[in-house]
Amino acid sequence: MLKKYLISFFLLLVVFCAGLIFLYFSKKPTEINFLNEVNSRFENSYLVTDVSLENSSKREIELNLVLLPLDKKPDDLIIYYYFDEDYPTLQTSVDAYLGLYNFLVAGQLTKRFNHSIELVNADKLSSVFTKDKSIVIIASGVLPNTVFSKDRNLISPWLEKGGCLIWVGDGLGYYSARKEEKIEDEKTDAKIGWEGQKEILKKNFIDGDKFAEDINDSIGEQETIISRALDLRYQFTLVGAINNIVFANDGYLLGYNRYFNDTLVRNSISFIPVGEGGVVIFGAGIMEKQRELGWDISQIIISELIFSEANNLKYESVRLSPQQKKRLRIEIKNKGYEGGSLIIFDKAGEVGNFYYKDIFYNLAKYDLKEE
Amino acid sequence: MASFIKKNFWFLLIIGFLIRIFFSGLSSWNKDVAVWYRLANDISEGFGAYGNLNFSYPPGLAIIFSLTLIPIIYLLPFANWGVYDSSVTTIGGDTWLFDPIITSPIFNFLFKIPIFAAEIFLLYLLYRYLKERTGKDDIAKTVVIFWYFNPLIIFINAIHGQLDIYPVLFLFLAMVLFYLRKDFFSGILFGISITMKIFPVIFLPFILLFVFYRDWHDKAKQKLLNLIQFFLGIIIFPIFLFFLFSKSEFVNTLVFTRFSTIGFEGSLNIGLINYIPSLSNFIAKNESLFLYIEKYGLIIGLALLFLWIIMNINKASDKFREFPLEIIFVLSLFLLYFFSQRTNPNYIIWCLPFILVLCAIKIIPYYLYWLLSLSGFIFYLGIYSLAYKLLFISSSKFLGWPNFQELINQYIKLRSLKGIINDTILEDVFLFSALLFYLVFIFIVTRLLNLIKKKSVKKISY
Repeated sequence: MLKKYLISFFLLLVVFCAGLIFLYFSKKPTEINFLNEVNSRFENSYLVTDVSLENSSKREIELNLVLLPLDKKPDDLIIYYYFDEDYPTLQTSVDAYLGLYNFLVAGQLTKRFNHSIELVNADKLSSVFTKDKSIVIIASGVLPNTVFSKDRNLISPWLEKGGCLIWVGDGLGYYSARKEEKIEDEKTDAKIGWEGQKEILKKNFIDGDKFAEDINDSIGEQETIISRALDLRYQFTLVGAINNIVFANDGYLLGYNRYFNDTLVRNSISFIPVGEGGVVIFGAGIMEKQRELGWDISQIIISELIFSEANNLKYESVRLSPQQKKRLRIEIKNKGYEGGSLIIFDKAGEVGNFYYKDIFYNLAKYDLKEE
Repeated sequence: MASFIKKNFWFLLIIGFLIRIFFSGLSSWNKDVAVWYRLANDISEGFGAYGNLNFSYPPGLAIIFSLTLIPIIYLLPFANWGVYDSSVTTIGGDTWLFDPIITSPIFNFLFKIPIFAAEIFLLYLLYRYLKERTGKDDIAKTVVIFWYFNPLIIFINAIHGQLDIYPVLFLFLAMVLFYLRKDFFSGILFGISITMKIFPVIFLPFILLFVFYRDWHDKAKQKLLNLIQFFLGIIIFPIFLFFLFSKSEFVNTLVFTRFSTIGFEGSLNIGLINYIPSLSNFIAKNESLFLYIEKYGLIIGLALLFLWIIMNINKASDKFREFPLEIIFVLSLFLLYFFSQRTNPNYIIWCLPFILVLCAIKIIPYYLYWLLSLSGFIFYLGIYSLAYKLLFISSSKFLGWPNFQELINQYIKLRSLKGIINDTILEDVFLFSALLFYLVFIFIVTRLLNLIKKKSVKKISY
């Protein structure tokens, strides 16, 4: 009787240990290069990229090739991620907001392009906003009063000087909280309201005559060219910027549109230029979408979108069967650009698979002179 | 019934197996199986289980599941794993139901075969255990067939394609070895089951209590030795795996990306009351109170159960030696179900082997086992509108049934009518199944608590 159970025990143990050995010693990543040749240049007033692709893998792949024109040289900016457990959060749990950091760290941004992402707390964040330009990601949904309050605004001057803020949460500047303050407390003075956003962005981009009553009623349904090109995935537009106002201020719509009425359309991700820099505004908090946000933020940073004329980007989506070869050309009418940013990525891969990036800069001048 | 089962035992087993085989390829729950697909892809490309943060279950499950994926990784050409269909990306994000990766019938079939093997292994153990415990072959066979023809279990293993059978198998053998006083071996299996799914951790204080009082007549030194043996067995694998995998992102993924309670969700849990119309307004106004109950209910419930057992068992009269551990497993799991933020019907499989044992030794009647299973099964059908069609998305995509575009269009239409996926829940079905679950839950819990109080549990034959 006992013997049979002991045999069962050892059988299960052996199976488990075999699985452990298999998983631990399974092969290490191998890069499959789908790119044979890439040639980017200016030609006849066009920014041109010729690409030769070959699928040498055993599987079908779907690649996106995106060319973004650049009118200034991209800076290699330091990336900061704000995390401080002592300050309140909104539209996210603390776990999810640290989880987003983990997805960013595990993603292409750091794995392939060696960007480090520095965690900063509320105190350090204030010194970041007084230093040189950088990229700051704030996904807590509430600004700490160390950087923004009714009588303090460190963000606007920093944006003017070229800083880039990536904001995930309720209205930007709507709340400014002290350490350990509870913003749901009715007596709180954390609420600044839409004036806060106006103070930072110099204009009202979000406050309209209608908001979705529920987060799920705010899901954007219509893709934009940029969301398709970069395969961006975040869809909430609860406090998304209003499309008309973004356009009127030379901003870009990166996410999904939600139509509330004939005149009011919100987008789930927008880029709003402010001075030399700008703000990427996501249409709500993390809301359990760490994975999607991690991917989207990485894509926005890697593609150099914030330094580009993103409204004029061109992209191609291509499916390649195993062993299939293909040549592609992407061209953009040159409007005095200084260069371009080309990214090619495997759409299904999410993190691990093929990713290529090339920045070419200053080629424009020669061709423009020839013309 | 028992004589019919005894007479046709092997025939029935083959029929049960064929039912599983029939459904295995055609069906799957797209959102979950897409994760299995990504795991297989990550392993085959050398990123391991956690390299790309696609798999967020504990490492024990990654280990056992990776092993079962070997035939897919090495024998099935990648082109045959499934397709990436970007046309469903928007509706997928919108409804939370679709993933653009749609696995092929052969992929579904291959990853489910080891699930069926684990199920047969569990049934073998259940059969042997009950045969020895009850001394009756026909009871053991009846229980096996009752498991094998349970629609909820067929649904979880063969249609949905869930992996819960793996920790349940390890846990069940751990319990048997515990009865046989192989404490160290039992502890090892118990520890491994915790590394697969966290839920067995709630049994830990009870088992340690049982080890301590089971050996009431032993000397203090011997009692301590037994406890140490069991405890050592439990911690070996969790600690080993923690250090082995902590270099990868798994610790961060598991620890930091798990979500806190963000809402009072209705399922087979306390959140069910959300769906009772007269209460919904009251709950909406007092959501923070209910979130609080949800957060601390399990801890308080387990502590009370622990005290209840200590108070009601006369330690000196050897009751612990006679007391079925299954009762404690079932009671603690019911507390877990009740206070979890979301209790999906597939979690019911955790307690079903133990409930079947309690039925076989006549502590609870069989009809409660069937009613409990039925509540989970109906719940599955009511979770989402058209869920029964969505389960066949693989066959829809690859075999044309149901029509793929029609299926997607139906969801697009549903969304435009109702807006959000929560509205696509078939509330009446949902409520009915959850109320049924409650009823069974109350009946079983009160019966088991009474048994503890009356000390009328039959002596274990070991």
